[in-house]
Amino acid sequence: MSSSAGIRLKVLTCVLFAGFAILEWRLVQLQVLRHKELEEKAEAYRLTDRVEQAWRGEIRDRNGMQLALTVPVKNVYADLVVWTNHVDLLAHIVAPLLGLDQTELSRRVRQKLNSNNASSPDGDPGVLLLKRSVTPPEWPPIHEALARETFGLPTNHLTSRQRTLLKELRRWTLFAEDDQQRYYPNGQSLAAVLGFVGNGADGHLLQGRWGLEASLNQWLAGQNGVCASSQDAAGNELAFCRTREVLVGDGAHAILTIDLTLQEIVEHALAKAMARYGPSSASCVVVRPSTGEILALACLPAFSPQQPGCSPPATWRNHVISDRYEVGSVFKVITLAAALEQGAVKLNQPMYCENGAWIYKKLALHDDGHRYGILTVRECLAKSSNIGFAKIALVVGTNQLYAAITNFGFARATGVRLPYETPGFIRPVTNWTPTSITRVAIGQEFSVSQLQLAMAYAAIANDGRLMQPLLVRELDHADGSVWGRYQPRVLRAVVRPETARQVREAMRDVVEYGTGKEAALPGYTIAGKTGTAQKSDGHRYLPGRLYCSFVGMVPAEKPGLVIAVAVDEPANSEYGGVVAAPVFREIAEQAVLRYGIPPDKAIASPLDRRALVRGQPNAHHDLMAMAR
Amino acid sequence: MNLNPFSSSAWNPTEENLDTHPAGASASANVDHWDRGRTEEEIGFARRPWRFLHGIGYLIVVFLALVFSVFREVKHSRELYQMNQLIATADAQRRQWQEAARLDEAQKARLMAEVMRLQSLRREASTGNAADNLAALQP
Repeated sequence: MSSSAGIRLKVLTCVLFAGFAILEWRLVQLQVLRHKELEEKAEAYRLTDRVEQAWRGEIRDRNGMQLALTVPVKNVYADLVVWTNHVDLLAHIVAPLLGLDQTELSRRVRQKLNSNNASSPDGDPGVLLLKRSVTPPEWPPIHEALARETFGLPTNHLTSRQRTLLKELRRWTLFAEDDQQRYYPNGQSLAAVLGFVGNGADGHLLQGRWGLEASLNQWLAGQNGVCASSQDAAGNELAFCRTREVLVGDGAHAILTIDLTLQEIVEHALAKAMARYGPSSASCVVVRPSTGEILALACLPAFSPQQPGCSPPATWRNHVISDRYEVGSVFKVITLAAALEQGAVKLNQPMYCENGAWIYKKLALHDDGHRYGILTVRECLAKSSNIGFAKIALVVGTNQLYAAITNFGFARATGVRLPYETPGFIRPVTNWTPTSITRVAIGQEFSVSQLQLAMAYAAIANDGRLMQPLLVRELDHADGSVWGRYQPRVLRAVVRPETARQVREAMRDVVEYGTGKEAALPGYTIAGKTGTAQKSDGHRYLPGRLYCSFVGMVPAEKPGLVIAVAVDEPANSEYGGVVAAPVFREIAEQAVLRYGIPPDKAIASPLDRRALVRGQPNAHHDLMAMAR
Repeated sequence: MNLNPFSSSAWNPTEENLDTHPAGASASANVDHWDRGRTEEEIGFARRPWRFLHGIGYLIVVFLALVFSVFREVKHSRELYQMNQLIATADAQRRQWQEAARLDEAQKARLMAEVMRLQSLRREASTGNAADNLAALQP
């Protein structure tokens, strides 16, 4: 008995050893011999990189009003694996849920299935985007409706196969992915400045394509978060198995120098001018001369940044910075500043204006039908005498005039934070013809942008200090803390303060009794200059196609605002003083009320003083906010 | 049976006995006590079931330890999974909250834009009158 027990024990031992040996061998095989291959396979199943999309930052005006923000939406997809054999049935169920046409939906799915069959031999039909930008509250009812749907299968006694099919159909007929949509609550307002976004790049859902959205994209977009982790069989992340985590950094908020209220005032005034004169476009920029801040920038016709594709691309153009024109008489102010700065002329110095027609170097110059005899320099500006200014320029000299032009910032981009800014164009002085100086002096033979012109006027308003135009005031972190603030920057002194004061004095005459009387504002001194320039096609001037403008500052003595208005090709070929000056007045009238700029001219009675501040309870507050 | 309580060899174990039955655990001591006075064959025969029982006992202990470890691991995994679920739920709630907050923000912005538009209409009406008044009062 003992020997048989011993044998059994030995057999059992051998069996156990053999079993363990087999197990050991299998372990060695799995852990050592096929280690690398199996590890890769396991990690492919187990590991996952989850990307958390950064939230695109907002764009706000100087008072914190939101101009562009991002809202969450969902894109709804169909997994074509489950659609393959049930296209009509699923289209019948899904179309009413998504508000789509059933026939169209079936057609799209079939088209996609056919194209995928042709292109992918592995038989994966892929997914089809059925509807974009479904709002988050819309999605749960759709999802729940599908979860209750029987898809034509019996409601009970399902076979195992049917249960699986039903589960698959409920889960994958439709699924949603999170997306972001840019929202512009003020519609078309400020569209040319804000620009728009398009489909994402570099892993982001949205990508700035135009305007500030494009130029500030790297700050607005933020940094996507990445989380390397493990997942269970159902695809749920195992949070305790995270191996690498880069936290999401939401995009910065851009705070502009724009004042939305003033912007609306400007756009409203331009819209009225558009309706009245039917021009091809109208634009305006309002600058605070002491800091170079752009308070409003409007271009009409505008487009909807929400749906830029619905408007012709021509409307996307920011005429203030991207278009360059021969601006005409508004440039005479710069010529005058150059002449006064050099001491070449004095304001009351008489100039003979040749009775309206002058031939210089065999080329005739006219004063648009006016027969001016002797005018003082300030009268030349007030009456916008071409001949008078041609003669002033001759006194200044070619090189000095060219130097003054470049000194005022023309012929180079201002550096405003917007894409596609034109530097303007002026020929090098060596390429000027003998008569060029008489034409450049009155704003011909070279082109500038409206912003360059506004900044040059702002320099005169700012006692000769040329400022860098400021459109973005600061960038804030997503949590509201300040990331960086842009400070006003003086580029250089272009004329002495005394020269600037004299130019402003002469510009007052333009509004008081000259070509810009339409810009006059009761209670305020206005300094400005009208401009009516013929447009050219590069070879010759085009009759009847005018560029009418007015650039002015209010109040004249110590200007708080510079307003440049341009109306391009008004239908009835009016002068700048008729077309653009009233727009200036309308804007200035409301702007002085908004900022509480006190009247600086004698006012007849206390009644109109009260009228000036009527309806503006926050005017003082706004002024203080502006001063910050 | 040659158990002789008066035999000195039974009370004073030989070198061989000492080697075969070293003092140790209490169970061994009891067996030693039980073995006293038996021949080597008798002792060997009597010890086999004890050895077997020892083996079984060890196996049971090892098995229980394994089962305990497995259960503990299962429990631990379950706890981890539950905590993962909690984290996932919290994450989903955070996303929902953010989503709702962002929608509210958009709604607020839309309303503010509407307020701005209405203010603009009001300003338009009031400043028109102010300008008329001022123009009329000019000398």
